[in-house]
Amino acid sequence: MVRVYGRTLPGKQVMTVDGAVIGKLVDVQVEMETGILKCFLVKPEPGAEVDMFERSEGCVVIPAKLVRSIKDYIVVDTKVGEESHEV
Amino acid sequence: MHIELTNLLGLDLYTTKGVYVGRVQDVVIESSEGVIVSLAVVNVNKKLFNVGNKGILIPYRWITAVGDIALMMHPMKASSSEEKVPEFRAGE
Repeated sequence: MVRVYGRTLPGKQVMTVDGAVIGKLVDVQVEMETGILKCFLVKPEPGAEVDMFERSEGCVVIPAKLVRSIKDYIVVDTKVGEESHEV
Repeated sequence: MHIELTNLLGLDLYTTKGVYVGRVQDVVIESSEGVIVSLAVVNVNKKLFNVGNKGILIPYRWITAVGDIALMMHPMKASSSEEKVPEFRAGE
């Protein structure tokens, strides 16, 4: 049971499982009724490969199910999205 | 309905009967499951939870609505005085 505090999340570095930097976390969308994290809004670094993600107001929208871990960094498995094309 | 995590921070929390509970200081996330498990609440209404100056962790399943304020189920009258909610110290 790894618990993280929400206040520490904005500004955290987001990267792929291959070690490529995506950007910095801006916010997380949460389903109000259940508290389930739905998607991570990330401000991409210039030149980061983010073509596979939807965009919203200058941020990329990363589905929470692609997020592998939230510790010192937020690690995203981009390969899952390429295979299934699900959001 | 979807809300943004940062919108939760600093919200005033009331019960569904309109009683003030406290202010949301932080959000506790179970990272392996990707779900909010509790809200860390400070400035706690001592008439509702007798915890001195410490904060309390309110289980997220008690939360019924989040908007300009947050609402939670009103604690049962019989248990409200000895309601056991985990405490925490602000700044932990």
